[in-house]
Amino acid sequence: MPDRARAAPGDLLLVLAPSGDLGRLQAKGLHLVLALAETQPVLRPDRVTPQEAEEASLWQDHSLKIAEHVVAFCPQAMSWLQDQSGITPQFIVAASPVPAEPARRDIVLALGEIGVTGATPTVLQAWRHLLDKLPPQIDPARHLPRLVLAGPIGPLATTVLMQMTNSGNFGGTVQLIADPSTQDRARLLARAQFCIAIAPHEAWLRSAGESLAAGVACLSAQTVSGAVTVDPDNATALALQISAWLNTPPPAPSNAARSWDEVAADLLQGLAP
Amino acid sequence: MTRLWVDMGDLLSFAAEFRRPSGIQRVLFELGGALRGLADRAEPGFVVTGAEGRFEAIAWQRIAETFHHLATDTRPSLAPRRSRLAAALRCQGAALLAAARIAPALLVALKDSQRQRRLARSVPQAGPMAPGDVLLVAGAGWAEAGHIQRVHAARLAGVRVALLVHDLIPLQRPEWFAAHDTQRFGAWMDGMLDQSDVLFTISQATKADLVRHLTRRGEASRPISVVRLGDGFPALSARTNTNVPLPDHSFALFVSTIEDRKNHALLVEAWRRLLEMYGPHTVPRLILAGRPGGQSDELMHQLRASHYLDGHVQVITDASDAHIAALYRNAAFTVFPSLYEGWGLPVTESLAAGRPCLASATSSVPEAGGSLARYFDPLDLSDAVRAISSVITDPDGLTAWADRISREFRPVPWSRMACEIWNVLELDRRRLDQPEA
Repeated sequence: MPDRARAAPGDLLLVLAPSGDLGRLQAKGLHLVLALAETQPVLRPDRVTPQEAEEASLWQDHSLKIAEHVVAFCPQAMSWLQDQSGITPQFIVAASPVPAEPARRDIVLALGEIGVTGATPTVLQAWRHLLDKLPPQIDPARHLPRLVLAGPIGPLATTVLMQMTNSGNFGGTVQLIADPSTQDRARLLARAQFCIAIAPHEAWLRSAGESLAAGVACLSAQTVSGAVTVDPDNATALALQISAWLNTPPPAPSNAARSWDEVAADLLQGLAP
Repeated sequence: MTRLWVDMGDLLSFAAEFRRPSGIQRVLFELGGALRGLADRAEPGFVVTGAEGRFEAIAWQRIAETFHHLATDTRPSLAPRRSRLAAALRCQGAALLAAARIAPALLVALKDSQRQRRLARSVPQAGPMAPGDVLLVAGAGWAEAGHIQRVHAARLAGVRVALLVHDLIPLQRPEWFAAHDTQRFGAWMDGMLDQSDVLFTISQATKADLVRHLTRRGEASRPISVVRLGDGFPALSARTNTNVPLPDHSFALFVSTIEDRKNHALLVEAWRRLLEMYGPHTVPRLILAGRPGGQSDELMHQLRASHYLDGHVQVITDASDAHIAALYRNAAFTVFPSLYEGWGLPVTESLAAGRPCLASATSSVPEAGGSLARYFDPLDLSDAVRAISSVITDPDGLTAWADRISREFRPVPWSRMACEIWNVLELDRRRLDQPEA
């Protein structure tokens, strides 16, 4: 058994999510580094349960007060921190491990929380828009690549799940993969013609980062180097972009393959005294 | 003389289950009344499902009483048993949802099978209808048990069948409907298309959808006549009490059942943005007049959690027709962001009340609003915000728009729709009477 890691006074403690009594840890001499992973419970409390919203708000207020360093992984979290808290966080470009070798590119992959919080209704509206444009003689399931929705089931997902059931997964053209593992995500990315990652409040940009790191072109709700930015509240524009990429496959992104090791190195360098 | 029979069974069966009429029942009632005005030509009669499960004649007076009761009932809605069951099942997760989907479908199949056997043993009967008469089906027949078998029996007895198609939304957008409802609608529609001699739609958009559906069925093109709906509901408003509560502040109005198809979520998001942009003193309140229906749980949760955008959104359920009419007359403007329609009654109701309407630029809605409504893309939140902003930041422009509607809007009487239907049926009869060359 390896020895348990012991934090010593003066060490940095990277806090990624609500956890423990941060004040007590700080009193023991640890330097707190807060990296906001999720702004949604605070920005849009109507999209989570009242309890989640209250807990997130209390934790975030408290953490921001006592943290010695604050890190943001996306421009949205950065500007929100600046606007609401007067804090200018350190900005880190996040990415993810490079997955296995690309295989057959036969799906369009929508990564992110399933439901309103992940903008899944916009993705499905855009997909329906594309299905409507097909001539009635054409079988969409044969003509279009499959749209795969992959991500955790969010708090406002009932309508999306009902619509999938009601429509027979949109005539067999859409597949839902709930709670995919890291390996599942990598495998899906290896099959993706391109990726749709338009959750508006995903502060770590994990999905866009993974897609770009895998060399898969990506539509993102936020400004991400290497990705094409789309409005997560405009299904018409999203449908046009998807259609354009189905007709003319996008070039693979070339400048975004960063590993989490590099992210960690950036983070440590930024926190160095 | 060809006798025209109008199938009013949907109106009566709907009234037995619900307390407020939907658009189709309103249209059916107004159209029925207008067809009575053609008595010298059409000799219209009305049929419903009798105790024997066959068509039988019904007096207009009874239909009118039933509809008046529906339109003026202000008691809270009594959800039908199957909807309450579905609502309960929605909370139980995917497994129960799947079970709920299968069970009613099996039940429907079993009942239909029993009906088919009964029908096979019976002699085809058309009730009061005689060979050569025409049966106009203009209601939601798919919701009536055994409807297609009754129409089939009438046709076997020599009655010609005319079908008015309001929309094919369950087939175009099955995601908005329970699977067994889509199956029921699809089976009914295909059965009616097999048996109909004359086809009508209420809009060019629905005609295009019907052509698309016929193509999918492998059918060659068939004549389809578009008949525009009448505007407003004059037979009703003449009798309603106008002493109803109204907001004491400026408001925008959206009249519709609250459901995903009607796109309330976009409108609430738009209002959230507008409040951020202009503040609560510039942005009018948003009144949503309608019952929460299918796929509205998440929106209602978000409304409650945001305290109805801190009081800037109000939901009025179970308003009477008089209340709705008063809301139309007093709204600053109306909004109709629906994602899919067969026509767009709330748009024409708004114009008939002299109020500007910002409406969805999709499906049939622009046909309903014509050049007097303004449009936005219902799939684009920014476009909706732009359209609404242009109205709330320009009160003089809004007044000028309302003045233009008052000057230029010419309500189409229901009698015109009735005449158009009759003329098409007459042409069909003459074509049949002509000896083949």
